[in-house]
Amino acid sequence: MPKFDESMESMVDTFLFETGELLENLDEILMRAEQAEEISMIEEDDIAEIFRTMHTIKGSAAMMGLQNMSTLAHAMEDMFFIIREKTYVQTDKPALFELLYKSSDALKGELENLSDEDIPLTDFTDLIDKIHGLAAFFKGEGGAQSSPENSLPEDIFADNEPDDMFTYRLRYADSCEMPSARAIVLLRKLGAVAEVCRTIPADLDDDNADASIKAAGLFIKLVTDSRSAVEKVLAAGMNVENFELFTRDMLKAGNAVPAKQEVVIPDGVFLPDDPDELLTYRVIYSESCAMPSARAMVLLRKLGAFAEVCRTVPEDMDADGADEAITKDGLYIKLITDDVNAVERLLDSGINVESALPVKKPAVTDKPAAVTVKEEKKQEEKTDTPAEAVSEKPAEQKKPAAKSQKKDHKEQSLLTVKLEKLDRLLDLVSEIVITESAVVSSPDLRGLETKLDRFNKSSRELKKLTDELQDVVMSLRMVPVSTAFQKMNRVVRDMNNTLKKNATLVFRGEDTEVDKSIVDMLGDPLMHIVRNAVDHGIETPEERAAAGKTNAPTVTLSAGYESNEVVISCKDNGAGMDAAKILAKAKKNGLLTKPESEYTEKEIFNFVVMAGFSTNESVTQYSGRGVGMDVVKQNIEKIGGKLIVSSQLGKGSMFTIRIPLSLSIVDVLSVDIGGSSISIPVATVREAFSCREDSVIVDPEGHEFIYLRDKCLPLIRLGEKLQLETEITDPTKGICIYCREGACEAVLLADRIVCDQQVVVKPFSPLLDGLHLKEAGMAGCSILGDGSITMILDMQSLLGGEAGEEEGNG
Amino acid sequence: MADLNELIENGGQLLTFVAGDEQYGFYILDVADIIEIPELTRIPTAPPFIKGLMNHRGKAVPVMDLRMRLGKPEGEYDDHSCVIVLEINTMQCGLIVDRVSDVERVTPDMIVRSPVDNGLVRGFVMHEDKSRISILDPGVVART
Repeated sequence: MPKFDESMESMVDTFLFETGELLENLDEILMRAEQAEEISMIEEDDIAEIFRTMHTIKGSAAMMGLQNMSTLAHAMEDMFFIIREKTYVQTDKPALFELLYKSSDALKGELENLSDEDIPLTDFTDLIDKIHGLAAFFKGEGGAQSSPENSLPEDIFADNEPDDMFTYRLRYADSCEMPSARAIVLLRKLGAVAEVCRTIPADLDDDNADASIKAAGLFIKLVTDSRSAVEKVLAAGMNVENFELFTRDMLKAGNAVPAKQEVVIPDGVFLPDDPDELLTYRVIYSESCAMPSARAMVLLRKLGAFAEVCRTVPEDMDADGADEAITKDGLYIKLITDDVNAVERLLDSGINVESALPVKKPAVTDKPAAVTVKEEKKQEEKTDTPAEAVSEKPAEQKKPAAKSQKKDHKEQSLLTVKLEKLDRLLDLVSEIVITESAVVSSPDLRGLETKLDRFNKSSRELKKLTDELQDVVMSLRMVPVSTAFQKMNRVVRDMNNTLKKNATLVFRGEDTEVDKSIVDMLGDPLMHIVRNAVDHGIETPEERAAAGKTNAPTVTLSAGYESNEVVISCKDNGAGMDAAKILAKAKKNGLLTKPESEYTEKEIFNFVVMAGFSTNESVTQYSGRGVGMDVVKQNIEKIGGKLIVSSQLGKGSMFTIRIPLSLSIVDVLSVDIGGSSISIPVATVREAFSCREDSVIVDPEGHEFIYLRDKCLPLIRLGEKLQLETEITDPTKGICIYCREGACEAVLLADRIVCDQQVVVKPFSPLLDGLHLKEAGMAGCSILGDGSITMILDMQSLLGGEAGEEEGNG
Repeated sequence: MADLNELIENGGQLLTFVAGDEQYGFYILDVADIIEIPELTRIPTAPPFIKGLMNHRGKAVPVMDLRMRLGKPEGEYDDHSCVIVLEINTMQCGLIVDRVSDVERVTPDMIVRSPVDNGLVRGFVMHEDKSRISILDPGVVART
């Protein structure tokens, strides 16, 4: 089931983005606010900001029809209303922030699941109840939710009720703890003798059902042939004190309050000079709808397709009072249309629309007014739980203030652009650069007799401009790493709370700009590394004191450039790692691949990030299961980065991530094989050399090896492997390239080396999936500056698949 | 990719061309471009009917020889040979054909459906005085 109304589909992206940003921002503010010792000491700006954030989320979630998120945000908003207005009598800061973080996480989780239609909307009722409970506690209401008023429900008798329907009113004994449970049993028994149409309260499972039964009694509406049988069942019901047949007269007598006043049509709905063909509709939104004005705007836009909307009351949906006016009197839409049916259908199908009925000028007849009264009653029926109705009031009072603030907030100089558009722009710019060089160095110009001075001057100018254009476009994708860093604040805060290590997180160079895709990718590895630093690196305060460390436990995240790489490191001043211990453990876990004595300190520390290694004896909530760091390493390597570990016992450890500036640009060594251009990623190339005849070894089974400095390396003729025709098959005639990827190594034979260059790797068209090019040893292709195409080798499958291939071929 | 069923049910314009002495047609909405045969880069290990990759507006687009793709013998390319660039679900694919003939408007009653499901040919356009045109399914043709 789609989670969104069709018309909202286009806004999902914007909603996800904006709400995501807001929540990130919220975490930051919460963190700052939490520093305050007392709730009363939190900066007013922060409170206002949190309040505004929740208000915005509430509004946009309601607009998207995400009732659960909207209600949760509403609850948080209410909470902060109390805090802002200082109407609390007692506070509980840890509980408050616990709930706030939980809610923020819940909202974030929900956002992530939104795009997946298989995951249903989460039910936040628990959380919302807790927030309401805490709000009540703050206000000094002792946590108990206000019980329903001791008056009779108004909706016992529906207007269209058949005459043969009986209404019984049951009173349960005061001693009965859970009348709702009793009632359920009773209703089941009644099923045998009567048809139970409705009960009041309607939902006996509801938390408030008990209270309302205790207050007003249980009303059962049923149709039966045998009243005596029904009454017998009722009389036999457990804990039933008494029951009576309830009639409309009794309702009137029992309810001092008159049913409901006539609908007041606000001024300005009917103007004396309205033409006759102008139709007036009154749209009533359900009370659970948080921002009817937003809904109304959408509705009006849709109406535009069938009708000419002349006027609405309230007139301006953006106005501060619009929500209240709509909630109170309903929305009046004045329109002219040819297709009344379509308009009515549309109105009825609007989200959260409770009812939409035509209204005529009061002078004509009174009847429509009566109809609307009925609708109003229906609306009452659906009113939410009393607790929510109570909390609705403060929410309304502060709305105008929050709104005007929101307006200031929106005026920022940032623009959100779809990544697809940006990528298209990037593509276009690189096309322009290639075309430009094709024009300027066109072979046609070479034969020309005339002097090309002016042409050359202009083309130099053009080149300068296109280069600059390329730089600017590239920089569009760059974002500061601080977005990835900020998230760590929260991680450290949560860990400090549970582990009591009081670690502080310090940022350095957080405004270093890197490609957006890198920042997105950094989030997970950084989290693991930071968790690791706090959990394993930083000692407990006692241990620190014992070791004589007086400086504060600190985790430092820093970022910067180094040649063509982004370097991000996470340093802690904790216990550091013991090389001897690590080596011993690596030995125990069977991770050693060479004699113990040959390991350098650097190699030893790198065991820490290998699969199946964890130094901490105890497994904690955050780390210690031996998985995680190896995944981090793999993920970083997947995008061409490196993870380096260094440590000093007693002083701390440092994890460094080095990632190439742009993910898609790779340094390659281009070689020629029978006229085809093939590129080998430089990262895997160890050495290129000319091979002497005596270093070629052929074993009796026909395997060929190259002997290079005490090593016997398998020979792969690229021409043969890639089925390219070339005259050079003798290793001594071509060029040998010693490559290594992971644990696999081999010598590749090519005709000759062309150049080494930087290329942008493009994956092969999905249309070629059937060719299994990756398995054949090709990762993708790249279009070079002169417009020609080169193939980029996939070293993993080329070298790794070697053994299997040989056997298959042999 | 334009829906071929749309053409078969409602009619539309057909780009007709010749490959190995036979007339074929693509629904015009599937065709992105018609270009001269560009420089092609061989894809190692690819079967012979895949002629290689071309640089088409900054994208590396695979190019096939349609004759060979349809199981006909390979032929020489001449001045009339050209590449029809198809757009299939935002992916592009080039097909070398002997020559492009015409753009014809066809009506549903001119089209005879092929009984084969998911075949290369989806239907035929029958002319009384001219030769038969086979309507190709670009999705099936371009898939390797």
